[in-house]
Amino acid sequence: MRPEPEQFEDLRRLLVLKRYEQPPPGFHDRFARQVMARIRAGEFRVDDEVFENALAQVPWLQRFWAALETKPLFAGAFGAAICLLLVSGVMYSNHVEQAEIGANTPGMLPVDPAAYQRSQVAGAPNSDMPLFRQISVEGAVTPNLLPQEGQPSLFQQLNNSESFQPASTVGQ
Amino acid sequence: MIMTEPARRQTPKDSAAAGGNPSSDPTEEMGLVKRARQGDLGAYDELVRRYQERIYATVYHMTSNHEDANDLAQEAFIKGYQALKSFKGGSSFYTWIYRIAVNKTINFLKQRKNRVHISLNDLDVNAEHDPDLVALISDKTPRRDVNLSELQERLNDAMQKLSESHRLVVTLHDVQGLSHEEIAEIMDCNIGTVRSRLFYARQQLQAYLSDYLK
Repeated sequence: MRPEPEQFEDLRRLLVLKRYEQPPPGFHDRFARQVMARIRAGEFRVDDEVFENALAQVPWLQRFWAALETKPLFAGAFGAAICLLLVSGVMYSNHVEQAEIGANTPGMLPVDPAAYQRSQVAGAPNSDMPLFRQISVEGAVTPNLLPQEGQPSLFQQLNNSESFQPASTVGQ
Repeated sequence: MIMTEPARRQTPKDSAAAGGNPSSDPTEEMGLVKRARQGDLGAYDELVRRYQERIYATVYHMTSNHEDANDLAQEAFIKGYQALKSFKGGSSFYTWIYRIAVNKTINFLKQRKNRVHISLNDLDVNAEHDPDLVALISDKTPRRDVNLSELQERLNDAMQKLSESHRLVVTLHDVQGLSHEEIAEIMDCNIGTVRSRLFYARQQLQAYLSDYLK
């Protein structure tokens, strides 16, 4: 193999041609004026500056942002992942919330979700049974939506721990 | 394999390619930067005028499109003014603004991807008298001016076939005349990477342009 300087000598000569490529006459005279006019016109925005400076402080974030800008597939996949995360979070919070409602509502106990689904699929009796079912418990207090004279209000009944049926007595 | 820096012959266009001759006095440059950071637009105007030709030329050689190069070079200087407060002086302003322009150009090229639109500048009339080009072109060619235009077109086509990083090292080293150290600082990589990319890029260009090279 020829030494490198000799190996690429013709290419080097050819690349000299690039130096003779010149913009139209007067271009460089106008260039600086145009740049300064745009700066004076307030072309840059303060929020852009803050964002750019933040990116400059965190190199990995800068690379991540550049990837989002230049790779549409990556940006799409990232967006889809975020949406999936949000939907999962909403579904999980709904599930937890319903479980809490069932635990805190007198006369209502949550049905085992798996058993509920089996009853729905098999068309078993009570397949129209809601996710929560009412139980008839001796001594259970009927909630009063409107406070009656001499009787505790709904909130007072809920706060009264004796009105809750222990789970162990369900179905007895 | 040891890659040595090839001995460069100074061509009449070197000073023009250098465009604006960066200040040899770092103190003066830092003085301008300091004033510009304090809001002195005149100081920043001076900085723009010093480096505009080099910055524009680099971007143009990367894009092979005059209009895109104009837009990108202007935006690089505007962004430079915007980001002056974050310029810590670890490198020269010249290197720093170069880096801004290069990053902006590479992002632009990656977004443009395969939609290449070439808009070439005209060749200076002195090109046909350049000793390197005269040595390259056969004496027997009847119309040397046409050959130069064709060469220009083929060269730009070949450059566009390179990846952005390989095109950049060829532009900065073989066209703009920057050293390996300067290129490493601009590209934020080590000198070995610069040398290997340069070697590979030259190999690729030589293959693409084999019809025009001995």
